[in-house]
Amino acid sequence: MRAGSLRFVVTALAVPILLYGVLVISPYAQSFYISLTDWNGLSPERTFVGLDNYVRLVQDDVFWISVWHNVIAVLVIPAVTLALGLFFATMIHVGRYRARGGGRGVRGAAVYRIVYFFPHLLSIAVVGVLFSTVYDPTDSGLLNGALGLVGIEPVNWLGDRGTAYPAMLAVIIWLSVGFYVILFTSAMSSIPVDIFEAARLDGASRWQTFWRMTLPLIWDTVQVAGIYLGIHALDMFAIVNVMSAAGGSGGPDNATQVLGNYLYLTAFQNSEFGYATAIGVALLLLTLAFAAAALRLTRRERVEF
Amino acid sequence: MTHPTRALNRRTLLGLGAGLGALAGTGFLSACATSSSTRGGGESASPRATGDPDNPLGVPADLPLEAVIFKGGYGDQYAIDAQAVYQQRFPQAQIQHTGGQELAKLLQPRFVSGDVPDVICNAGAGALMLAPLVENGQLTDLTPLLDAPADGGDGRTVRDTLLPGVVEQGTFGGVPYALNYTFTVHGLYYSSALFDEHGWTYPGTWTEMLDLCQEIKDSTGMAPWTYQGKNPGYILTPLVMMAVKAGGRDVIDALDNLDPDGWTSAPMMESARAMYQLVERDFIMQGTSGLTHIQAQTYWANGEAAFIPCGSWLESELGDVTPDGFDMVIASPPALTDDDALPQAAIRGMGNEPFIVPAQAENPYGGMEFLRIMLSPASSQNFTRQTQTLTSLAEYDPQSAGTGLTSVRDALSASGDDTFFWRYGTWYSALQTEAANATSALMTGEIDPDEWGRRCQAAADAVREDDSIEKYGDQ
Repeated sequence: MRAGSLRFVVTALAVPILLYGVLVISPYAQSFYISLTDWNGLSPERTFVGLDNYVRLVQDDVFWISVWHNVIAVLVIPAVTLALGLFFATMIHVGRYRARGGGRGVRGAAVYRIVYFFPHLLSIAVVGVLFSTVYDPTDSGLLNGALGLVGIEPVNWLGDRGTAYPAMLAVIIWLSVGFYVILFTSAMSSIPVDIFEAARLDGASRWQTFWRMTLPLIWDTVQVAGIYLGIHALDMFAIVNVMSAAGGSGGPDNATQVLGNYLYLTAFQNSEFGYATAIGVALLLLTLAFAAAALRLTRRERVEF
Repeated sequence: MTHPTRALNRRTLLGLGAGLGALAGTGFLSACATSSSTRGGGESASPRATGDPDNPLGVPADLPLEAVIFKGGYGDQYAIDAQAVYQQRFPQAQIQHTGGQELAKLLQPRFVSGDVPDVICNAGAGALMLAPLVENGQLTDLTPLLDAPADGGDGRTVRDTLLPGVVEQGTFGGVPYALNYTFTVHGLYYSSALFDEHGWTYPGTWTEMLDLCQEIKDSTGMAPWTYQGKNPGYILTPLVMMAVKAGGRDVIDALDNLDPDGWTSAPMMESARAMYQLVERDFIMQGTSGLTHIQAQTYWANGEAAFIPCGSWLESELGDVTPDGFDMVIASPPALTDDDALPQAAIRGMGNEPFIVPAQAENPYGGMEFLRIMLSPASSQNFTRQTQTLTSLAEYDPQSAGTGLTSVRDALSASGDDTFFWRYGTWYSALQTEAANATSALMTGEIDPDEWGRRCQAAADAVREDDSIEKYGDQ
């Protein structure tokens, strides 16, 4: 290392590392300590109970239901959102394929971009209220009314344990797609047009162009989007809390319970902060495992252009 | 083409977002730091009689008073009005009022640090759990208040002017720590106008109930029953009420004391089977289990269903949603058998909206004086005027009463000494949650009454066997 550069590195990193230590590392360390106590969250007193909370965690059925629901969310939400996002972005960007001059967006592409982005601007609370009307289980519900027109019996979307969780996942996907459409269209715009023209001249089909050129060239963006979506999907707290019942029961009968909401109920409804923190630590480990796995699985040769 | 996101460095943004997302997802509890300070608490609240009729609790006139009031369906104007009275009595006192929701989140850090308000209306979803506060000794014994002369009580003590059961419900381990300000009656609501129109009469027995349901369904196409599907605790209430009336108060004791057959006793199982008939005979409004309490109650008020179980806050909660001339009335559920232990009119009546005074409050006697003002006939009338809900004060004239409130008062006087309540739900929240979940499954036909009994009993057994949970029943 050249003389002086060490000092530069140290001074440049000191503030971020200090902030990271105070705002991230220290709370995690404290959380880990709290998870080893029986703290009820209301008084300064707490007793050290060792790994009792973790033993209880392993035996807790609701915990495992929640983990399972989080895992489903992590698998489904990124996959569906990325697929839809890529599809819409491609359509907007190169939907109309011209014989000369490569792809052009479909008519009204600018309008679509804005419309797709709308849901992303709404807060989860607003979306929750909105969708309680969409998912109204009687035949006067928005969705059931539409289904009624084609002769389908009303579905009890949020009241049936079979449909409640998929219905919530659909809301999250609806909410997220628009942002990724924008992200992917702008990534696609940065690919030079001549490459597409060359491919077209060589007789590549649209399908081939997408798989062999577009996707590899924006792979970095897709990868980051996937990880971000995955971490977002591990949360799920807000939507479950708003849509399951007043106060967020995770119902019907834990059919929509996720770790974030279970943690919340344990802490604020049952006043078991020690146990809730143990759930939080489990969620942290799950998040880290997901991020590590996702980075490893999606590693690819980077294509320069 | 324009590129709306190009101006932002999207990688940086995403990276930051991912980091924050992970932090928000896993670490938000860290906001409760492990370090905390304990402040010296207020003086211990031992009974003291000053003999001063204007200030029987001996409130220091210059101490400030801080009140945190749950601002839900009842609003918080009634508390502000009572604070105005306090201000008149103690002009030097500075009064700080906070109306809010989700009080556990608001107050939890303050209880940890010891910087607590002087009086709290601890109600609504997201209220503080009382049991751990009691266990930690963080609440003030309200005996001085109960033994003080009541405001406008003609020489009687506060204790003597309250409705029966109110003091008991705020008592943990023999000490009154909470005072429930409102008094609610639980039962089945129906529209008396609708019933008159069709010539229906409220059924006295469950057999008559089923017959009436069939008639309602056949003659009008209206659903006989609905309930607040996403909060299945509502439909558990009439189930337990019918069991209590059939089997008497022993049923309550068995539930509250976590007996090994509390939930599987004959009256409980018979009541579960009775309710299950509503499912089997398709008497429940389609889609009910997916409705929020607001949706279900609105459908009911719009005539989509004939009966809905609720507490007596319903009239105030629905407000303008109720059509004119609907004339809602409350009644105790029908008798389960021909030889029920309690009369059919016996109803569940209990205090709600618990007020507490923290042990570390700076001005605990000010907090109690505020409650003494709240329990005067004038404050009670004011509360009822604003909310169409009774307070825990006995024998006051609520003056402005609609059909709902009138029927609540009638039901309460018909029930008389047979009025009952149970407490396992307040004491053991895990049991309440699981019993409600099981009842939700029962009322959608997912499980049968036997499985329901097993699930509820297993939850009760789990609480009983768990040494880390403080027990309050008299076992």
